Amino acid sequence: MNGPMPPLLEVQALRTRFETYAGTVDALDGVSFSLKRGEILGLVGETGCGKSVTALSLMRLVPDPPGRIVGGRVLFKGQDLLALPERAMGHIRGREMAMVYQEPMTALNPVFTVGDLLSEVIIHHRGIRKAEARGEAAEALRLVGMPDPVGTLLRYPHELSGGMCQRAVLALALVCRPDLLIADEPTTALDVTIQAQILRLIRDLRTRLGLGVLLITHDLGVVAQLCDRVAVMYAGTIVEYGAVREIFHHPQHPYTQGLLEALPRIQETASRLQAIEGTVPNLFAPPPGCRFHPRCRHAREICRIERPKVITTAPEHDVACVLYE
Amino acid sequence: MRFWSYLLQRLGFVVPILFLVTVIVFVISHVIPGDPAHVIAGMYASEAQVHTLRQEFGLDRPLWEQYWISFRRMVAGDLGTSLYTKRPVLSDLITYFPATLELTTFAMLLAIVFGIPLGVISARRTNQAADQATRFSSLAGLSMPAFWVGLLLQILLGFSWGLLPTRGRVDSLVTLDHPIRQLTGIYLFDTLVTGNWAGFKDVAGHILMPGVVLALGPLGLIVRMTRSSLLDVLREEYIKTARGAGLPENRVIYRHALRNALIPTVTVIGSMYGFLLGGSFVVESVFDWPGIGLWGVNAILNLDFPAIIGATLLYSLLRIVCNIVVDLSYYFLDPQIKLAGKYEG
Amino acid sequence: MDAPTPAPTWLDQWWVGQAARLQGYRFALRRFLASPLTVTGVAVIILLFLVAAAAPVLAPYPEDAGTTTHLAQRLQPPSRAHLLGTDDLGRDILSRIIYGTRLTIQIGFVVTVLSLVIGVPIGAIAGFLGGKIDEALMRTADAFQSIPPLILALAVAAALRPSITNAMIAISVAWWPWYSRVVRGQVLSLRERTFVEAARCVGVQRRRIIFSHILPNCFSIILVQASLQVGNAILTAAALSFVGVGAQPPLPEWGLMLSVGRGFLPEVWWFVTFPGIAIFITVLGFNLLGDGLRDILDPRLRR
Repeated sequence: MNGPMPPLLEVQALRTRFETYAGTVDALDGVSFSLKRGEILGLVGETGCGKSVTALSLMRLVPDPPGRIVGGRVLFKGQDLLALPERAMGHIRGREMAMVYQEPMTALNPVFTVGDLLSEVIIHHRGIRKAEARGEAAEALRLVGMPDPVGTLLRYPHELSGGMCQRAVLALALVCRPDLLIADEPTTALDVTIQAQILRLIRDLRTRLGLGVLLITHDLGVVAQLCDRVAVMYAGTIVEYGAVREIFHHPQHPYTQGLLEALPRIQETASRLQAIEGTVPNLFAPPPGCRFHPRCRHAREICRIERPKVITTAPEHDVACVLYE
Repeated sequence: MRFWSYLLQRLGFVVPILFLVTVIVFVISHVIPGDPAHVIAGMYASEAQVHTLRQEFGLDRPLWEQYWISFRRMVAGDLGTSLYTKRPVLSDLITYFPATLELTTFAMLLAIVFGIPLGVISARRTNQAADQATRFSSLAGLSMPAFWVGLLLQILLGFSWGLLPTRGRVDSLVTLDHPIRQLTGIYLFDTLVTGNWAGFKDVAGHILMPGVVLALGPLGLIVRMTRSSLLDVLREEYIKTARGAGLPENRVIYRHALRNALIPTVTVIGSMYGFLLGGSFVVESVFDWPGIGLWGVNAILNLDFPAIIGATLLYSLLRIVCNIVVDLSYYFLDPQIKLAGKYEG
Repeated sequence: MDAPTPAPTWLDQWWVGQAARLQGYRFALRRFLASPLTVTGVAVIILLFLVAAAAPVLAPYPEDAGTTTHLAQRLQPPSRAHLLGTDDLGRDILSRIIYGTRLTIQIGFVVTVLSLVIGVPIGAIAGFLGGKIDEALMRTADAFQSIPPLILALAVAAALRPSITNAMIAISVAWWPWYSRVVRGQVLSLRERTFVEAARCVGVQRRRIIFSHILPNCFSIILVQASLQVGNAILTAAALSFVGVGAQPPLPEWGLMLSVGRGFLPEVWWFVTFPGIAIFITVLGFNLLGDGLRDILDPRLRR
């Protein structure tokens, strides 16, 4: 969806493939969405649907072998990242576009202090002197709400708690004030209370720095709390996409409906939880046509044959389902 | 924990182990059938002479008494006299050890200097031609019997093409004109430091073949170890972080990954060093290198008890020292140890 | 709605389990054979076994493997009649190398099996029981290991009368600590797993826990280590024979041939070259095989 300003990030029909001993997997099969400056876009889906692969593809960090980006365009500030030479990509990573990961405890190199790591990245991207870099590093830690920023510079990762590690990883990502932050399940490995803190931190940073955030998660609650827009992903494709309020109140794709129904709600009386029947498809042999059709209550003949097209049913609401044609 | 307490902790194990070692060696060497008194006396000695000899060397006392005597002497610093060379064992050790030390260190350095870069290359280009070739040659290096390679090289480089000398450490003709000042016993060092250029060339020529042969095994191991631990490290999350932060690939590999990957490699290097010191005798015997390897083997074959015990003690001590040095290097490489309370070995 | 499907019988369950296992094996096999190095290793080993089995048929002069001598033909260079030349007693080197494969295979396996027989139980007991017993056993292993293996093997072999059998025993004595450590490490990590706790809760005897529950899980790591060490065993045995405390004449052991051949250098190059090549190829084959095995088995262990 284009506003008066071009979107910060526009992904068009991204396809990523993995070649393994067990066969070929199209982990991403035509993923499209866009992200505006200062907006938090949620990317939701079950484990294995391709969310992390999307993040890696955007950063061009897909391990090759066995993976490869085989199609589509990734327009970042108007430039197609997939067409850039690796060197140019190296300038963008970390400086204009950064990522934080799921396992904060293992995301930091155990042989370096936090300060060493931060300084190294700062010096690499901005070429300032070591003493200055340390000052910037402390500043970045302060930005992410680390208690005792200066002291933390001297600590090794194994001396930090999970929450502090995640803050450090965030600091590392933001040290050059990028425009886009990709957060791949940043709170999944953390305690609930810390989760809340980190999420609040991300929202703060968005406001303060005008960050665009791609928040990847499997937790719909997080999406409801934090995101402006959301993209629902299933088996390597986006099935529904739009403003959070719109989608949560009027879910249209059967998968989204299933996801929302599966959430227990306080207001309603207790009844059996509604689970979506069936299991995630085997991506080595994905179902033909619409990938969701084997589990769909409303499946029709055509669903087995053709991939559904993306249809805009309302402003800020796109669905990929034949029901809405 | 503090460095010195760490060191002390490691040293505490040395004594009991050495003790056990002496017991084992003593037992083994005395299970040998055959009478060393006869061996020393020679074929033509009379019974009376053999008997006197036996008494002289204390070989007629009960076993445990013999052990106790030699143990006491050992602790006092006297390792006895070699039954074969008739010299004090200790002085024999001091004479021959530097040669082995020089050879082993040379070989080890060769292996490290060539092995680690090859391992890195192999890991970066997994399954491509360079990788397969490196893996194959490192395995080949490990599969070749050292003595065979030594002999082949002798034939090719020494006898056929006359490029390199095949025996010994120095050419006596050269040392007559340019005598080597024995500062440390390590000839390469001694000749360099005293400006003895001719001597240096000669020594270098002599050490090259045995050094290369001895280095083959460790080279293969180091390449494999580096490759596999680097591959392991490259799978870790923090490498993704480093790449995601935009750091160039070379820096990621050499600074971020290698430091972690070297930790297990250092262990291998350390134990390899100890192994080489003990296993060099084969190469030494092929090249007539006057080191303790050769000396030790002769001791065993001649049933020279004091020498055997002395040699084994030395080897074991060296092994243990290597282990400790490796442990200490962990202290510097792995921050978790510096800060931890206890290190679990 | 449709009739409820009948509960799966034990046969169905077993079959599904087997099918899954077979799938796993198929992938493993594909990965195994994907590497040309591994395939070469397997080929070499198979060739080795074939040659050993067919020795009487393959060797042009089978009687030369024993004590017959043809002094008139000593030290002949490779020729049509003797493809690899003759040795110092006029025996055909090719035939002796072929018969030597039997000896080599024997050495490799006997040493490995002996070391395992000593090392595995010790390691398992040390790892499982822990505490003082563990300390004691491991310090003993340490002591054995601080003596360089070649020296120890040499000493033991010299202590017992020099022969190939004693050499095999000697090498096993030097190597068992290696397996002990490996097994102990594995047992330590397995010991804390829940299935062991469950067995303990039910009251299974300690010995049974070790042998029926824990050891089977050590199988793959033991297999990998053993396959990697067979080559070393052969090398060490050859080294011992080279020095004189291993195989004794007239056995067609390759290390022994090198030791004898050494005396006739440099003119008689064939005596030294060919047995060495045989050792090299054999050990290389085992190493390639062991490497390949480790590639497919280890990652699964880590998961």
